[in-house]
Amino acid sequence: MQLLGVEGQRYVFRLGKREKQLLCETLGLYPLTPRSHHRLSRRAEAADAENEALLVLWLGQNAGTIVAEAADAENQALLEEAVATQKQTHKHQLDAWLADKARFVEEPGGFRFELDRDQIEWLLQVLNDVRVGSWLMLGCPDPDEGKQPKLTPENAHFFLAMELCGEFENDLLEALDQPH
Amino acid sequence: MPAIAEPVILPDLEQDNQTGSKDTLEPGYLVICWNDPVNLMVYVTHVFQVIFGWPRQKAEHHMLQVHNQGKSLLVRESLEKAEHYVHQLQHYGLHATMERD
Repeated sequence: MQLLGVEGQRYVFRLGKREKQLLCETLGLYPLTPRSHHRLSRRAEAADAENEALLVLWLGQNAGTIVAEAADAENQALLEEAVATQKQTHKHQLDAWLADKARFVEEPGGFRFELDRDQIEWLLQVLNDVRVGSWLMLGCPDPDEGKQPKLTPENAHFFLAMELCGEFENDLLEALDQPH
Repeated sequence: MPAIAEPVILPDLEQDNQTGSKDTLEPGYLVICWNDPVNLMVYVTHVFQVIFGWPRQKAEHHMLQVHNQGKSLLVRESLEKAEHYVHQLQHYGLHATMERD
């Protein structure tokens, strides 16, 4: 994806034909990151993993701690709800964005399209959701730690999606860095 | 965190966040961003700039803390503000949490 220029608040990009197809297919995976991935606190993460132990602790802890843990659970639920609502909104925006026949203007060898700054921010969130979700589907690989993706015929396309999202994110961020 | 191509010059940072002893501050919540292998360094920097309004140097400083030390304490705030920041960071897909100070 190539930035052609910045016209006022409009960023004008060019995509090759295959690039456009890949972008649309990748965006079609949104939303991909599950609600359970969004944790409000490390304390909440520990609480989920130790449900049985918590029950035992509950019996022996003072009321203040019990109330605090209940508040943690409530706040976690609020976060998950906020994230879900945001993703629903973004999904509607994305569907409308992709369905707009005037979105991608065909020209020799590819397509031209425009985004304003708000749209870039929204697209970055969408792309990163697909990137993180793809990473989760691949078993959370960590090349620096020697943990390679667990590729299967069913999840191999997530590897491509993860890499593509990273490339598109880089392109958008470089565009934002351009002077205008 | 996956690497970026260009070199990063660490800033000579001035003292930031609240001044004064901890005892004089209201009880607060710490907003922490944790390292993960999936969020791009350049993306994390951008998100910090957008959410906190930080200049590039400060955002990169905290990003490098996340990358090199596994986490960075971003801000210390009231419950409501800390929740707001964590929500915003999570909307961008960062691994951010809030912990009682």
